[in-house]
Amino acid sequence: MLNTGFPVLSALIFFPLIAAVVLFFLRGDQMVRIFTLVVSLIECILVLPLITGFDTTTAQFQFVERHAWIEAWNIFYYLGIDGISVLMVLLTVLLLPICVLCSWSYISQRVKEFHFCLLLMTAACIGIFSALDFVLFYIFWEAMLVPMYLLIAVWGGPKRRYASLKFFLYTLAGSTLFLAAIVAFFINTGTFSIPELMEQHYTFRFQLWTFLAMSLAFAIKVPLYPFHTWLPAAHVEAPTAGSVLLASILLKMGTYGFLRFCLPITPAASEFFAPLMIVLAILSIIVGAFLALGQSDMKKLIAYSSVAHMGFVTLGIFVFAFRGVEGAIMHMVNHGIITGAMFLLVGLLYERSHSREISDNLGVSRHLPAYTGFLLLFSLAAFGFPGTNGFFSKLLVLLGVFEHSYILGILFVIGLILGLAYLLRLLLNVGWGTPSMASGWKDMNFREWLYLIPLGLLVIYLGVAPGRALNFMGASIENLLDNFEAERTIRIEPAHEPVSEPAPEPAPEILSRCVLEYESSTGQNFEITATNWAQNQLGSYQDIK
Amino acid sequence: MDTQLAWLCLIFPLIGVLLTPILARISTQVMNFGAVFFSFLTAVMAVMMLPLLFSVERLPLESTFVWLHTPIQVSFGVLLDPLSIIVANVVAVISFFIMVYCVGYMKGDPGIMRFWMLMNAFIGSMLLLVLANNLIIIFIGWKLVGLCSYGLIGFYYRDEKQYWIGGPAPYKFDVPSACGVKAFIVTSVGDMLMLGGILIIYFYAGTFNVLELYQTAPEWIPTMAATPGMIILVSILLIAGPVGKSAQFPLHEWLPEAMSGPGPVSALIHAATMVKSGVFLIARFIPIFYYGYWMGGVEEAMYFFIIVAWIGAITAFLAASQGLVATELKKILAFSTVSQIGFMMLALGVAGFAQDILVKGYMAGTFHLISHAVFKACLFLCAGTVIHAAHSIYITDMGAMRKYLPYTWIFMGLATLSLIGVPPLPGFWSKEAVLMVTLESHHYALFTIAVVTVVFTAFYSTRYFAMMFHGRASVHINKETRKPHHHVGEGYFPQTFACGALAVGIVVLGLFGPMVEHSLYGLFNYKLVEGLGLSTVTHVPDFSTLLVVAFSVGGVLIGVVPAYLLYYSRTWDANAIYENSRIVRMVHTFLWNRWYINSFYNLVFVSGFMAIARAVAFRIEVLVDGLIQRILPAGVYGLSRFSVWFDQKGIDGVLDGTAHHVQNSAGGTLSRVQSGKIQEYLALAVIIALIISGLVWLI
Repeated sequence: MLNTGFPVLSALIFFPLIAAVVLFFLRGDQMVRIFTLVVSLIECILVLPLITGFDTTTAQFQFVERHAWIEAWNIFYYLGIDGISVLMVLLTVLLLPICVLCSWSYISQRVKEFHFCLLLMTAACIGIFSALDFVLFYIFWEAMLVPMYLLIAVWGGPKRRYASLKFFLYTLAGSTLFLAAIVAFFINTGTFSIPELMEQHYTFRFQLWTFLAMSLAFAIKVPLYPFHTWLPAAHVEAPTAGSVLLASILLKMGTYGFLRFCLPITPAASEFFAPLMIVLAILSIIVGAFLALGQSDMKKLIAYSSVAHMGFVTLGIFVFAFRGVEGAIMHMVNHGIITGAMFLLVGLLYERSHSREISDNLGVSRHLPAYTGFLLLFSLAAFGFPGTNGFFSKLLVLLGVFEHSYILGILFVIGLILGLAYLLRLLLNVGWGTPSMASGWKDMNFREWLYLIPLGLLVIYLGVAPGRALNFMGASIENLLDNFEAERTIRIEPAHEPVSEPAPEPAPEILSRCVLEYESSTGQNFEITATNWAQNQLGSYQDIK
Repeated sequence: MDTQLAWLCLIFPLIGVLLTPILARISTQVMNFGAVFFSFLTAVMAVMMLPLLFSVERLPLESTFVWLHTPIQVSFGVLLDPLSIIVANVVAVISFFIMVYCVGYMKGDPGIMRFWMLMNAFIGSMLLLVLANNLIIIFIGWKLVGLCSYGLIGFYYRDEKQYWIGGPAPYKFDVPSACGVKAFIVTSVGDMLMLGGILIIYFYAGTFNVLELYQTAPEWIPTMAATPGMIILVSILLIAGPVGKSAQFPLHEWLPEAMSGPGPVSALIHAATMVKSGVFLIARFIPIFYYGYWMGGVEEAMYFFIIVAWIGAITAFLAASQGLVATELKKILAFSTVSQIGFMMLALGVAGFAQDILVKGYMAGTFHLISHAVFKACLFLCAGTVIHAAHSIYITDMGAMRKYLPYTWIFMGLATLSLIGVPPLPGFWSKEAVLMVTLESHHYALFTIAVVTVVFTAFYSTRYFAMMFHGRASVHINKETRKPHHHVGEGYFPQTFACGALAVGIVVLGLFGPMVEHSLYGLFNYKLVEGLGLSTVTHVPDFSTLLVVAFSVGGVLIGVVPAYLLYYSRTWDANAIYENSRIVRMVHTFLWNRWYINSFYNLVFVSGFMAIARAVAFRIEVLVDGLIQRILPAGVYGLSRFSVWFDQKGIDGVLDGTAHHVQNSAGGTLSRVQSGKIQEYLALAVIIALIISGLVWLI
């Protein structure tokens, strides 16, 4: 595992935390805003070593920090990133200054607390994407929940109490099961370390249950179709910055979870449940698009479009094709950029019209030409127009899906067409046509240009030259899928049950690797293989031999 | 050197786009000049590629640089072969003349900067689509032209009443912005399906490169054929794109509404170039399926040709019949465009029916593409001038305008004659080639449809021309001419110049028609057959050319004569016939409503989909939400009620009398579980989770 001298990831997590504490000693709202902006910009500089120092040739975890934390329970302070998470960390950091800027004039009450929550959110999100210890991960996972809850409940719209509680309960319901899975893993192996857990082999039945527990948490977070109803409520009520964070970062944690935990740790169960996940993903795509098409509230429209987009991502993951997974990760980033920008645009319009209804914001192009330009750009990107970032990620997912099955591909294409329909409906009404009440509104000011320009540039940059971003993840995905391919069909039966039929011959290289690990494991790894199960398992392997 | 020309063809329009806003700061004149100048440079570059056609053995030329290595290799490159050089010339040269026309037509429009940018962007994207060497770049160009078309159809996006189309009064009007959306969505349906087809091909062939696809077609097509139905699926998916873009049945309904854009836009995008990209792409795909069928021996590959031919024939007939009754000038021309593109598709489709007519069909389709581009562009430009002069989009509001617009009358007359197919104009030669190859394929049903379409074409062309320029002046025209500063007359000089130049082009192309036809045949023969070292099959015509000419000219006469009597000399009274015959009225209504296809699509896809969307959003969503939101808590609440009941009736029954306050506190404790305090829920949840995980472990 690669290590660097300077703990970049810890710095990224703790710097906003320290800044949040300092924030409480500041006076004056303007001061707080400027301070948070400066902090967020420094955070952007701190993240630069991640870009320059990231080794794109290896699939191992990088920037690893590992310190003993609670030794009695084998819990470590263990951080590290690989190709799957690095882009998400970058996106999280990038969005912080944008969130500060977009709430500059919108948030006028409890300014200090608001920015406190923003900084906390950032720290927790970076923690989630870089934690390599299950307990640490869970702590960050729950820590992220509280500031988000507060963002909605304190600075939200009229129905904020309902929405925030709904958001909280849904997420909590999922994460409790996730906790159960973590505990089960610990009981089984005696470790919380994610990389170590990835190398273990579990019985098929155990995999099924843990997969279900974990994937429910992630499915709620993504959200996949029947678990999605918290999303529009939360989005509609949240302030703009909250919506941006929610759409761009929080939703990605679900799909990140699939990639980080479900596929590597429970491969056979992932294989077993893949049809279910694909059905849910397709449902999300089609029904989500229909839901978006039927909305008259702009924020709800974009919220439901997120459901559809995250369906694309989930589909890309569960076809288990290299291009599908690559497209899925790329689309996670792209969707973060595009949907974040769409929410910013809606928020911008809301500050002028004080309404999110499409019918109150008709034909703004006459008075807000620059705004309409951005709306067009991001809508096209959301649709996946060539030359914008959405194109390549969707193309890759589509390639992966077509390799899997062309019927799925056609359904995907139908989802794309529906996606065009709701975006064009938004554009047709909000952009073109006769204005309803836009007269007297001012076009975007300097601050608004400032936070949309970087997103617009990224949309075009990633659309024209996606190669560099794709480089980041190639090796990790290859490794992920190689391991997955090797293990997807191995269904280990519990050793103590009578074997009625001859057990399937495990692939020899897996077996030998297992033995080798067993033999060579010393020190920290020793107690893992010393558990009953592993011994039984190895015993049964030797019997077969 | 030669591929540099192709690169310059792509770069000049791009510079034009980028420079326009800068030049606009100087003055409108400079901006106009700049925009036209860059399209001129593009046209020059395209023309300079023409000499390559005379040294065929050097073609195809390719120049690429790799754009993406991983995960799929996509190169960005140009491909020069006879097809791309010819179509690039059609695009670049005609665009230039249309840009000249725009200088006059768009004078004083407030959105002129946006207009120039979109026009140059369109030219660049169209050339990208034509010159690209692989399917992904073709697709990118393909989507970009769609975007420019969307922007230009909805150019008058503020939807002022004067830009509405449709009607007249009792009938529905359409606003430009909605028309743009309609065009974008309908074409995108085709585009996305085509993308699916491209990706399936990539899956089997492993490359997007066009030349590699040709060369390896006999190898990977059989692999694909191993899955029954796969080739039919791919054919349908691949054809869907061209069908959408070229407005062919069943995705043809967007083109009539696309006429809400400015006149020259209709000429450039919706007649001369963009709608031809579908034909171009079919021509690009033909070798793949041809080699697949005739060399690879894959039976299913024939479906590609059958589908293309029948779609072409049906569309040609359908659109021409709708053109018979339309009264909006540009809409008639739009129907005519759809119908003529149907002819091209027909020619390309029958090309694959037999081994010996491939080159002939390929040539006929391409030749008709060229000649149609020239005369239809001229027609639309003239129509723009006339509509501007008459202040009305309806031909019923015109009449006797020959004396006001003498030049336009000549130019439009020439173009109309070419559309009808009067010798020796280019329309005659190319239509004759299409009919010839259809007859050669021995598919007499297709041939009959084609001949009937020729009759229709002659009828509606004569009709609109006579109603515009001849006969009595309509009430509207009389009112216009009586105004003190009326401008019922020729437009600005650039407009007349551009129309004139295209009219000259028509005459020249007509005079050299047979020569062009012959050299195109030679080119494609080399490229498709000899160049690839395939056995040459000498083509022995089964039918004499005279027979086809007789059919063609006969069809024209059958169409022209009644139209002449009805609308030119007015010997027959069209209104009286309409009033007296119920059948005529019924047919008229049927055609006027465009065979009810548009209303059907609106009902199913617009109203239907919105109804589904609303139902999903406001019924199913509420249901799902309610299920989770109401029933789950209700279940928990019910359980807790049950526990309370159990406490009170069960435990208390046992411990009756001993614990009055115990009962209270037990009930109180459980009801406190629903306190609404999150931290308690969390604690409870963690405990439950531990219990569950323990259970899981035990199982």
